[in-house]
Amino acid sequence: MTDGGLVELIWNREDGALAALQRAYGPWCRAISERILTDPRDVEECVSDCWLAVWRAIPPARPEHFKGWLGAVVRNQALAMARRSGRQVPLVDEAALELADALPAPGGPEEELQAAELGRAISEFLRGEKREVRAAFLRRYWYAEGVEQVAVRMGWSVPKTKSVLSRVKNRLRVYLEKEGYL
Amino acid sequence: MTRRDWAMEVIGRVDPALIEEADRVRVSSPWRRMRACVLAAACIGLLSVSVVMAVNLIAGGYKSVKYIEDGFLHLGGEAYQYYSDLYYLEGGQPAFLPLDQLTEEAKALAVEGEAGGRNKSFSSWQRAEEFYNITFHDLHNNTIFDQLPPSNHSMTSTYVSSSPEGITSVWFSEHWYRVRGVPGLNLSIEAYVLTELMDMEGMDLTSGGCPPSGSEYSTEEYYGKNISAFIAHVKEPPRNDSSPTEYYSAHFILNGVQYKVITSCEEDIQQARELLIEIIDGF
Repeated sequence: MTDGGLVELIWNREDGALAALQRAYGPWCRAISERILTDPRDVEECVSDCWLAVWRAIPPARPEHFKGWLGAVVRNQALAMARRSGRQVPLVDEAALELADALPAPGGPEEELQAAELGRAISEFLRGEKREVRAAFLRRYWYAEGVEQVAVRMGWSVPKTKSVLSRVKNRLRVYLEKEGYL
Repeated sequence: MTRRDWAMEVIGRVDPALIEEADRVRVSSPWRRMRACVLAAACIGLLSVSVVMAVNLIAGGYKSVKYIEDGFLHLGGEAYQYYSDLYYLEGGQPAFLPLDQLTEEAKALAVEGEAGGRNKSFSSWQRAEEFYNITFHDLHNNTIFDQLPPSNHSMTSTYVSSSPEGITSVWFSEHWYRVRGVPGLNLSIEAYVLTELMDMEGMDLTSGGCPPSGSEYSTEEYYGKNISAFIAHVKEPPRNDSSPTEYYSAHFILNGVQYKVITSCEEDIQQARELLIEIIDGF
């Protein structure tokens, strides 16, 4: 079933919509939350909360890129759960701290707006990068995969992967400076 | 907010289209391809081990099953709360239908350049097969399926899913009632076919069921004469003073096509189970 078909089922509240959603994206959502939540019970709870969040959001939302949107939903659920429990997740923390070097510091009551703007700016920057570089960057910093995992996926050596990620972060910093964010 | 949390927050706002793309990109290096060939050659000697391992798979071609109980669904208002259990099979190996096999009429169901889905109904399963040029040989070779009376069935429903490139999957479903003249003995058969355009992205097939929370259910792996199936027996709680709904549901994969067979019988649930077993044994 396509993402469009899935959104239609959920929109129309049709029988089997939830089962279709779980069938299509259950493993994928679990994989995303497993990188952030180490306890399998938390993972199941997170994914279950994710289905509920999707059900609540659609309608009125009708995401154009459903898979990416769903990934953001489950990732945010998992991060919120991790924060509430106070657990550290070394792999995610390492990726986040690496990326933080390239970003302006947060500040003030307009953090929400600033985060959205920065997200758009990073998206614009990434569209100017090669597809493989873009993918490697997001696998490392959005999907929170380890460098070795990213290397395997991209068919690169680990040193090459580290080098690519380092260079793209530097280019991101330059881009954000030029755009006035830094 | 810490720098760490801030970075996670910001990266979480990246365009979902780019997130999707990153999930599709997977590059195989020449060394990995060569290594795969070397490993394949070495595995020839391990074939007997592989066969032994295969019988440890869950019945019906799936590798694992998961259960989730009491997942809360909020359906549009506090007055209508819905809890659901779920059993979830995964790990099946698909087969992909060449797109050229579909008829031009079938291909026309896909909206050019867009992703979407379309329903289309037919007077019989055979008519649906003719329309798509998909023949479910396994079903036609089944001793029970071909005996089902054409007069005691509903329309054959199909649902076509498509990507901007074309049709990615076709789902067939039909319902028979009063099977063998037995009042209340009902049968549903569903078949799910993937085309070569379906991007599984390294994922295996999945199947399952979603009975309301509070259902009683038991499951078994049934090893029939020629095929095996994962069978669930579900008894849903009564709703609004109506009787509870009870049925058997079998899930299996044959030649890369996913099947789901559901039987029920108001008067005698055992007849439903017997019919289900006969169908499985009829392959």
